[in-house]
Amino acid sequence: MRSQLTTIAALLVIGGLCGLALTQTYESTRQPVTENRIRQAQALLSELLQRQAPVDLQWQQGVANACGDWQFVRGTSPGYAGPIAYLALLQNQHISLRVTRHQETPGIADFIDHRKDRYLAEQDNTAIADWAQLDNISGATITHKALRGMAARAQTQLHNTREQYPCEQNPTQANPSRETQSEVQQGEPTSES
Amino acid sequence: MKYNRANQPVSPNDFTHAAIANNPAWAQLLGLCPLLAVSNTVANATGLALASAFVVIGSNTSISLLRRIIPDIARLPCFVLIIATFTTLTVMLLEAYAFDLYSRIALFVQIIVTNCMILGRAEVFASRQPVGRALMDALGTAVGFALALLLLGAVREVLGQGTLMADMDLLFGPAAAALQLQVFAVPPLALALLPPGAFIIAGLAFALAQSLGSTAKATTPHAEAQKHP
Repeated sequence: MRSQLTTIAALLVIGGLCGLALTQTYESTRQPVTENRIRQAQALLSELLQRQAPVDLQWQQGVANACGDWQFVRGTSPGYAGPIAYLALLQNQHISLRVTRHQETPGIADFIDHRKDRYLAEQDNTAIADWAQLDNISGATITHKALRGMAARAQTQLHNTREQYPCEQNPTQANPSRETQSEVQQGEPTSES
Repeated sequence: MKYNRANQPVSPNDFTHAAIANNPAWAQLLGLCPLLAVSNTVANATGLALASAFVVIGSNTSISLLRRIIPDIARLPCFVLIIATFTTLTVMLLEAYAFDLYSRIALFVQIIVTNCMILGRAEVFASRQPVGRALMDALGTAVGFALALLLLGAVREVLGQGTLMADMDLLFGPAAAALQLQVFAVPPLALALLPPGAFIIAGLAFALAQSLGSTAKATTPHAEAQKHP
């Protein structure tokens, strides 16, 4: 009985020390981590928009600037190894798209990671009607199918948002958004693919 | 003679043994997953080497300090908890202060927690030795792993990318960008950057290290005396 109590006490001490170190470091790094995420998200938005993106974008149900000349839409599409998170720019019936998070097979699905492959950058500003007709990538059928479906999903999401927050009533900011700019990225790509 | 005897004083041998003779990469073939995956450039290799060094030094020292209160029956979960804590601290610090590098090697920093090299040193050495010796062993292990990473990183970057020390600014700030050397205008072996190239180059490098080690052993006075009694 006594040895069991000793073991439990030892485990509590070790767990407590580890927890203390983690919480203290989390508190001291929270500010720079948040700033880095916002900076990265802003850089991605600006890359898609090909000019400096507004820093005060208001997001409603994953859509920003729903009633403007262009719209950002973020969402997910089911891939081979789980949901693939994307960020799309819709502009005059054309789409530019980046994958922000995925767990697809490294090596095979590298083409959807804009940090490793220029495939998505080369498709920038593709007509939405043509996006679904992109040539398949051999060996990554399901991943590519998810990619081709993202344009339609983004359009549907935009349509639903506009229905819920009609532009006539609230031209640009129907409701104050609780979504923050740093959530655009929804975390870094979890796979190194 | 068994090497890991308890209650020996701190000795430089602990360092050299862990770094060279008992090198985690070429002698024990441990931690190969991050070693092969991240050693495609010197910058990535340096980042992982620093992260691994922080974890192995921190965890070895902590485990040695806590070795008298860590229950024997639950020692492995305790080791993993301590190693996971240091790995998470590394991830937080990298994300806060070296974000661009973190974006490139995040996955492999996170799996340091499952690195057999670190758990192995905790179980075999740190949990049975005083802090001084555990620290020397951790320093040796970290330096040995860094040597293997940097060697592979340099060879693979030169052959596969034609450069040496590119992107060092991700680690050490804008001034470090000037460290980049252009060795080849056209990379002579693009395969070196890919996983098969990593296996081939690592295999050749480890064979060379083993060969040099065997030669050194054969030429020591002790070995000579055994040959010619």
